[in-house]
Amino acid sequence: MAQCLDRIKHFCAAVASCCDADLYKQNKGLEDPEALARETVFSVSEIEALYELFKKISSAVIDDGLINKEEFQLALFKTNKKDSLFADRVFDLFDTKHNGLLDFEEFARSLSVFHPNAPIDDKIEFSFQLYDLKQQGLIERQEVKQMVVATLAESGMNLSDDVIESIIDKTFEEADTKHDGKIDKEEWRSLVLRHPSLLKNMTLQYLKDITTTFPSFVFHSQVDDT
Amino acid sequence: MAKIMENSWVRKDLQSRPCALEAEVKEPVPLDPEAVFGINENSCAAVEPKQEVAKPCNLNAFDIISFSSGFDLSGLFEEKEQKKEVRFTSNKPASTIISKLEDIAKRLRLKIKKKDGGLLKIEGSKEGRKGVMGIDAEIFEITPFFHLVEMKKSSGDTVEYQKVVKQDIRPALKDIVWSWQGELQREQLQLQEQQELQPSHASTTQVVSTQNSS
Repeated sequence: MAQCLDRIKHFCAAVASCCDADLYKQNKGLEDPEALARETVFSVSEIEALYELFKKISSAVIDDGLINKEEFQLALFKTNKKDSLFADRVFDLFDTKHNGLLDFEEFARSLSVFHPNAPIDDKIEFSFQLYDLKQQGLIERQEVKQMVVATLAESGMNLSDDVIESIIDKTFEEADTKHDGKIDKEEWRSLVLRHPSLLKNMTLQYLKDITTTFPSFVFHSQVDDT
Repeated sequence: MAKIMENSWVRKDLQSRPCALEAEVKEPVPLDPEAVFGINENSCAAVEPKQEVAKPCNLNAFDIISFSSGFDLSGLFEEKEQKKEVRFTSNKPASTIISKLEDIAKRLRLKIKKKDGGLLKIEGSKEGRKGVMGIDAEIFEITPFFHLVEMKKSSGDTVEYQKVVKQDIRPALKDIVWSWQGELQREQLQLQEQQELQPSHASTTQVVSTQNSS
């Protein structure tokens, strides 16, 4: 009889620790939504909704609460077989800890720049770094050419080298006001302020509706959105 | 009303379309084909002079780059079939593309309006679930014989819009479409996947080892 009770006690303890472990795992990724909300343009409920998206993406291949490059490609292109210069660049910029994996913090902080309410300076900075393939603080002609060629190839377009060169010539004519063959941050800034459409990829309207697209049912939510 | 629309359109043009500035500043006499052909084959005005409005915009290199689907993070939020905008390339001149779209609109009993800068506004006549369906078709010139066309819903019900695009508009555009953005890659990827049936082992072990190393 005593043994039975003991076993029941053990069983209960095991179940209880199991539950705890689950909660622990869940909270591990979303430890402090308020802190993240303070440091990004997201509200607390948007952070919680974003976390639902993050969970979905990060569990696609390996369920470890982190997004690896393959899961990122999968989420973006719905296939993990697509190598993309651009997706690589985006992933690298998101990966501020430089460990080849995105945790929720990195995910949320980077996506914050894409929110319609994010400051335009952040968008200008991010896009500059995106195009600065060699990360030397300057956008060089060769980098622009590489990106144009890659984009055209994606769309199945095959333009002659001459045509591509002349498109880039015109672009640099307008952008490279210091005439040194490179576009620095200042020149980039004035270019996009003149042509706001160049930043259109830096704003995701979806982020405004994220609480409806990814409703979260977090029991411990301390939402007090104002 | 028309005046107001025109005004706001002009402002939008100056702010967001590089070509409007170029057209006004650099090419004050766009109607002289000889002078224009001599200068720059990428010029907007290389299109027949008789055609007044609807000159497509010139894209600068960064415009082209921003069309890349890799830089478009909206994929993170969309299911594949739900994309709100579709893009295709065409190796026909702008005038052909425009007349094709006009034909299609006529056949589908949709109203079509030509706007400046290569923008066509297509509108349904019936009130759908969420108002009248509107589609914007914008033509961007890469060269006089290579254009990128972007179609997106401007108003109305998304499901209705997608249906019209998929069932009615897309098949009708077959003659002028070079490739649909995203489609070519899918075909290429399918080929790649078939070829990769053997090395699939290698790719999985590669993934595993990347994980281990980090």
